[in-house]
Amino acid sequence: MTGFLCLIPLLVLLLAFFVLPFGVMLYQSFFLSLLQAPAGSPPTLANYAKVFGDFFYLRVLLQTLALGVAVTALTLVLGYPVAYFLARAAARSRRLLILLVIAPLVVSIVIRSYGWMVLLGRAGTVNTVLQTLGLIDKPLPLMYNWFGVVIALTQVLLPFMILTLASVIEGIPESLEDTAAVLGAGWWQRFRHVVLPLSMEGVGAGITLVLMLTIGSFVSVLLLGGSDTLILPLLIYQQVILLNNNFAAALGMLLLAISVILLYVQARAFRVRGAA
Amino acid sequence: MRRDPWALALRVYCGLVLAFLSLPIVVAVGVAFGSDRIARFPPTGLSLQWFGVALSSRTFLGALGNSVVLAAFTTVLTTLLALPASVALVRRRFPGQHALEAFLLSPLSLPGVLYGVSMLLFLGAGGFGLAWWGLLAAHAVIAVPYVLRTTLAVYRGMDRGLEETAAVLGANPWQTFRHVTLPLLRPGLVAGGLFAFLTSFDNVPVSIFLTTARTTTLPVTIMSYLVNQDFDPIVGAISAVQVGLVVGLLLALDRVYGVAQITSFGGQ
Amino acid sequence: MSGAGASAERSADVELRGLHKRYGGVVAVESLDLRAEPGEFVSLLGPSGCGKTTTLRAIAGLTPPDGGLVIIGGRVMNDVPVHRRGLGLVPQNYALFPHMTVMENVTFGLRMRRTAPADVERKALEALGTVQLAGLEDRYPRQLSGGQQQRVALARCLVVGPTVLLLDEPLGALDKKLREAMQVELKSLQRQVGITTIFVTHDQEEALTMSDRIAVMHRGRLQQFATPQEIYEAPRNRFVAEFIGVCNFLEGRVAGRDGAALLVRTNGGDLVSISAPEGRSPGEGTRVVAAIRPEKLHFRSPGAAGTLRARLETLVYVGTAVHFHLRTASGERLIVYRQNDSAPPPALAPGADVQVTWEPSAARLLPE
Repeated sequence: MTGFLCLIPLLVLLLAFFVLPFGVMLYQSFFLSLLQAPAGSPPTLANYAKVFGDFFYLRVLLQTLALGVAVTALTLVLGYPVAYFLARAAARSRRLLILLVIAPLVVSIVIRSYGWMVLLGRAGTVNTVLQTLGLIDKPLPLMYNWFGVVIALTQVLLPFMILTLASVIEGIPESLEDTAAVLGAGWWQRFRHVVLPLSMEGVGAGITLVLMLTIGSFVSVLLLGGSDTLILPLLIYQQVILLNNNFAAALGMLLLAISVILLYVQARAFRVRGAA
Repeated sequence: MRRDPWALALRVYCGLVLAFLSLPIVVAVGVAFGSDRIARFPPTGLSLQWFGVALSSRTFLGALGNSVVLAAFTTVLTTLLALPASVALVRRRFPGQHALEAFLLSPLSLPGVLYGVSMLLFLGAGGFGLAWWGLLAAHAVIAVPYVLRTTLAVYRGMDRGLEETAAVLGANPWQTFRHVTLPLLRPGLVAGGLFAFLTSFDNVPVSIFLTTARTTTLPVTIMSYLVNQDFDPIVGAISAVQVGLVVGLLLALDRVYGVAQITSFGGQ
Repeated sequence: MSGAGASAERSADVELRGLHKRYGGVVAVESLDLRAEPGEFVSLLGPSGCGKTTTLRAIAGLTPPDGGLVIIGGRVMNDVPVHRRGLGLVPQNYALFPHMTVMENVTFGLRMRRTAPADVERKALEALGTVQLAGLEDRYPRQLSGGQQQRVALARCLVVGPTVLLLDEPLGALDKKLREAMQVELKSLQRQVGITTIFVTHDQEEALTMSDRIAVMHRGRLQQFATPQEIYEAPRNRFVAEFIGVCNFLEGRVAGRDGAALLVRTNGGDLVSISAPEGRSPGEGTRVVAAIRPEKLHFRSPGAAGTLRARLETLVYVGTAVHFHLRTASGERLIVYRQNDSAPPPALAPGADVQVTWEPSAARLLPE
């Protein structure tokens, strides 16, 4: 029927320019570049073997995951209270709050990274203030390292965590907390025994979301990281610059696999419609 | 809210976090108004000099033009694709609908670098080179989920009885769509369109692989400045302009359509 | 008002033949045969899930039936698309277009048919006048009260001159006083315009008040299609008797005949008379059930023949009447309504033994 006809243009776009490119990437990951083997060589798993065989690359993988865990944990802990506040806010304040949380998202990540660079650089605001106050003698290395990366990523991804959590917390009737209070529970107890357990689905969804976004982050890490803050997306970029397309393809498939797994977990286990 | 010290502590904490969220943006914009030769926050003096420099820079103006054109085309294209798709998805139930929808929305969730590289390899393998249409197609793919998602949410929240009533009153399917469905879908389309525009305009991970010196976009240009450790406040000036435009747009649309509600608690 | 008064010729009859619709494993409507005459006000009455809304939607063409015919004005409509059927529909929530003013809502149908602009405005104003809503043309639906919204929905329907008017529980969202006022208004409007109307409701009082005929439905099947009086006085089966108003049921065995009436020995041992419909003569000893309305029962002095013995459990005073709740010797419940007229009330207290009787024609035999 006409219903399906309406879907076709979009499907064509995605099949041609989304599925197919990944197919090409998959294909190319099984071959070696012309520098390594003559044209017409048979498919091989050499690229993948290289990743898992070389400690350097394994370290990159581990760093990627570690960064993911760190940023996710930070956004969860920092963001939960804000999410609670947002969910329980009166309608009028809530609109303003949502805008304040979303506004940073619409500003380009490049601009935000630029702001961090001005703040965290050697001659940046933080260092200047600390030196003026006499708290330090030499400027602290706040940038081009993991510190800068984690700070920037936390700032970028907090809104996602906050909105996902808030969406779920909103569904917890406030009357439950009130009842617990009447029965004698203080705020920590109310949180631990009522709010937290009922929000677990949101916590799970938020975690998978932020994890996915951290693992795929590129700009912040490139700009605020240094030579040793190498994560998978950056490694891929590097390899492409070096014209190692095939190896980059293999790395890309790896990143895709991790992302798809997380995506699957998110879709199946946590049916929460938050921001993404 | 309970009137106890913890409530106050929570408010203060939230204020701090929200300040943290806006901090780099405030800094970037603040630098733009500085009178210093280098990027410094807070600036020692106020001046509009950097806006003048930015607006006379050919590099930046060219990149800005590219970005605007590209984003505009992306927005139009994605709206034209997502609108009929949304209608099809909501009107009929068919097996595999959930999976199809998840698939259509999946570009949202995948790392941009990944997609950028795959498009690069794809265009290379096909012998197309770094054509502009490839860039547009890539932008369309990453932007279309935004329009699709908001439109679906709005359409699903709509009273289906309205379309039925229009039909009984004598409107044929096209008339019903034009006079009833479309006007009521407008908030979703506008919200989605806004996000599609911004996604395209701000995009780096995909654009960085697919642009050439001629087709380069604004964020990619800024990136290359920053990567080369050039922190010229000119970047701040450009940022300030973009932030002003974008935030202004967001506020205006929220006032008219309630964009914030549609996008964040989407589709409850 | 297009067709005001003269619509009797424009109005069509609605006929359903063997209508059938199932959703998955559930049958919503089964073998429905019904015919509404032109200008008639027919209610589809029944509990939720009985298939009345499905039937209405089938007539409108919004839910195509799995089997059977929908015939309007003598024309088979099964393959005619919704927007060509020329009907009027007011759904439960009125479905006013929120993004259009009252005027734009009312003129919608005319605009879709490309009526001349001059006529459009004139007809719309006429329609609004008929439903007594002049002066609100530039308001938006959200600025109107429930009752006003409903009138706009009606005007919107009627302005295009439909042959049949379909109403899906239109008064459900109104409070009691407003609902009763609207019932009267709707009915008089319908009379004035003379349009065939199919009215879906679960409120039996509403149906009794407004309809020329009522189609009682249960589990997708038509139970009885008759005038309100017939439905009330002569329910065809237990469901109809129970659904409409309050009804008492007596069980017993046939013990013989007494002229046109049947003699029945109740489970409690009393011998009573009930009327048997023509053509039915259950033999002696057959188990039967009789239906008697509470207002048709009277108290008799003890010892009189042909009465039913019972004990009074409670009295309920409702102003215009007193309701007596009784229990027979065999444990059956009985309710007796006694009008509070000028005659002195019976001196009865809970626990008293009473005798109840009735005119034979008031007790009707129900099919098993």
